[in-house]
Amino acid sequence: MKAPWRYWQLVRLTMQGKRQVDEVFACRDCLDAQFPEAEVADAAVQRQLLALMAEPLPSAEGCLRCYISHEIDRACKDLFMRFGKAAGIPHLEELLILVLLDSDPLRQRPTTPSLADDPTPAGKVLRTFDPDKAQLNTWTKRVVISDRALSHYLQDYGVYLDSDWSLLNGLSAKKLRRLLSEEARVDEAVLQEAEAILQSYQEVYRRDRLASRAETANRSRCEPPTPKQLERMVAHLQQQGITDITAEVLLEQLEQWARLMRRSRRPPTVSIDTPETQQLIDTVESDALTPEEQEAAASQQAFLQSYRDALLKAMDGAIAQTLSHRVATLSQRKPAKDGAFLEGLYRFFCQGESMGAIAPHIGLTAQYQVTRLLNIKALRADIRREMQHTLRQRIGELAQQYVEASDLDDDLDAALDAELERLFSEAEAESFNAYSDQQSLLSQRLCDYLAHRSD
Amino acid sequence: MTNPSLDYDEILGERFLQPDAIDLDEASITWAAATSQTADTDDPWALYLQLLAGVGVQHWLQERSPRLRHSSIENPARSSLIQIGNTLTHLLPTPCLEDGSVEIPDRILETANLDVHLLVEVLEELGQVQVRGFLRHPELMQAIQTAALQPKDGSYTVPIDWFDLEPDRFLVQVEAWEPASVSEPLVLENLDRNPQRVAEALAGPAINAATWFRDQLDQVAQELSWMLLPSFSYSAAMRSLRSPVEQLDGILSDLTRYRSVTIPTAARSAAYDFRVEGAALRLYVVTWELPSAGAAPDWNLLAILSPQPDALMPLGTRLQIRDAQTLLTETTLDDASGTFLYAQVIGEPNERFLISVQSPNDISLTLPPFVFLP
Repeated sequence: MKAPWRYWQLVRLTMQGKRQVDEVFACRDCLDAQFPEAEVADAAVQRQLLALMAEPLPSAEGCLRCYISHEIDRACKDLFMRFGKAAGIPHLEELLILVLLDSDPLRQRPTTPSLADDPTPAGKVLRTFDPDKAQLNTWTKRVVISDRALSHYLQDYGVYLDSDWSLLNGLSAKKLRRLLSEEARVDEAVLQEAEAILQSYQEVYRRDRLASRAETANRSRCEPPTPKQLERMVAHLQQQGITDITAEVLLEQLEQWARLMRRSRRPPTVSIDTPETQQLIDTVESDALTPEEQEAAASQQAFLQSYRDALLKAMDGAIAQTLSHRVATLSQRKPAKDGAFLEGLYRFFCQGESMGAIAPHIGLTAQYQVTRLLNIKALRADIRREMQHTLRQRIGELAQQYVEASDLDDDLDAALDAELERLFSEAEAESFNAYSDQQSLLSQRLCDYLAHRSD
Repeated sequence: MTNPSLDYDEILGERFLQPDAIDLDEASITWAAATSQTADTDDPWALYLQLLAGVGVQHWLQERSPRLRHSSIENPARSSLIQIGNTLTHLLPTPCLEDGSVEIPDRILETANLDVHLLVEVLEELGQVQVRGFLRHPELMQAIQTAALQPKDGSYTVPIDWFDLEPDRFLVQVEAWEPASVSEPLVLENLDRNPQRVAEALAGPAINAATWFRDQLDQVAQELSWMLLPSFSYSAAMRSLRSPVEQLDGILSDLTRYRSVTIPTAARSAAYDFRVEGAALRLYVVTWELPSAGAAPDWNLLAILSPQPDALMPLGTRLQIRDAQTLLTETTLDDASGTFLYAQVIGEPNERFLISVQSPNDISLTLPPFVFLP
């Protein structure tokens, strides 16, 4: 028995939402009485406590609930460590409050539901835990990461954990073969049987999901297959001549493949932009000293001036166009989001507030939700394209006017791209550098538009 | 079978959602599920994902690039192909980018004129779709060849990193891939100072007005969305009040009555709406054959410039017709009471004429040349 105090200390949240560890004396007494010597394996302890709980012995259930509270706490810490920072989750308690809900391990309060009706993750663990199949710590973790409230919370922060069943719905026979062959040397017969198992699963599970989606599209997570569904899968397999697989084996097999799939996942390598190095504008701006070139330089200066005017005009036009389209789209959402969008943008570009700080002002809780609503990256890209669209034509006309008999024409598109690249990477760089007082041109114009449209 | 283990250092396979993930509405999900159940397919699930991808991409395009036109995805038999702008796009649904590869059915690669594959992550469980990347078809084919990739069980397994994973670039490129039509109107400042441009324009693809007499618009005219008008003998009752032909009727009766221009009833005409510096204008071209001394008849080109209904033509707007050598005729709107400009030339069948409209600020729009080759 490692760390026996786990069986008699309860991790819980106080009414103020603070994490606290309480000693439960009845559980300590129970553990001391049942296991006088410490040399017992956890698995044996848990098995015996389960048996005592069924008698029923409330303090035995209490011991298990204490243990589970530690494991829930640990699972949340693990999740928080893995992506709390990247997702902007402010503190561990935000996760704990969703799943660490057991405050009465001995079931003494009249309002505490019996185990059969206990809706908390701890209750679910106790109802479904089978010591022959898993250890209590891993089982608890599994229940935690598939918890619906926690998934929704994580999703609000932009983190998605696929359920096993969703993973398996998307598994192709080809991919399964690859996964199994990478794992170990397997012969063809095994692979064929694996394919048949997957096919039986998908035949039943996907068909049912499709049928239920055709009726009502509530965004439900994929739940584990029901015993009935497992039966149908086994029957399907028997039709294929595979008769030695029980529902239980089938379920374990599928879960194992889901783990294989998770393990095989790798974040894709994103190609990094090679910035346009040769910028036409630079060459135009470079000193031209010979007398003949001076006239040309004057013409180029005039060109540049008109060019900058055109650029600014195109940027303002593109901002107005892109924002009004976005506002129109968002005003059609239910509930309408256009007000929150504009307020959020104003705070971001004009007040320099962070996404996290903006959230409460526009009725949101998480930074990711703000990121998603404002979608600054897409906004920039759309404004840029809109500018490109306007400028391509306009710059062609300008160059024609000012720079005669030059080969500028062919390079115009490239030059324009390079110039826009410079402008927009400046705006992008700024977002990593929130406190700089040097605002990019794009941000200035955006702010200008936002400030004036509310006049 | 061993105990399922779930260690603390086990990979959870978590992923970070994209800020521009598209939430599919319930009606779309129900529609996709119901359609794939009843469609004639041996893989309803794949069709379902395909339809979700299609709906998602449509939302995405509407949100991100309202300028781009796209075809509908509602036909389940063609659900994986969508025309975006001029780009025939194959929608490639995938459950998860982090899986590292994606299956491309080999039969889709035989599609004629396929331009690009668009990688769409379908998060079925969440009812969300994320556009994640794209790969131009010729590049894919080239890469398949270079890597000596073989199809297996009806599909190629293609690594994700062959794709450009910046979907914003897809939007930029789709707009750029719209092949800049050679026959697009040429917009220039100071056309008079650009004899070379005039020569180039005259040498480009031409609009053959003779096809109008066969009730046809040739390809160049079609690309520019010219409207072929019914012949003048057509019953007036069939026309709507504000239609181009109605407006033209008024102008033509003005021309014949007060300016002694004679237009035979056999003449045919077409109209073209455009803008120059914000002014919404309409150009009518009326053409007819003339008896000539040679074997082939000569032809008459009458150009009429008017504002579009409810619009105004700015004072100082000019209408010009040129040939290879010279500016043949030019009229300027210099009277506020004037409602249209017209110019007329007569030519031999193989002669080309260039019609330009010039704004008061000397921005001119030049149309492809006109010819008359019966």
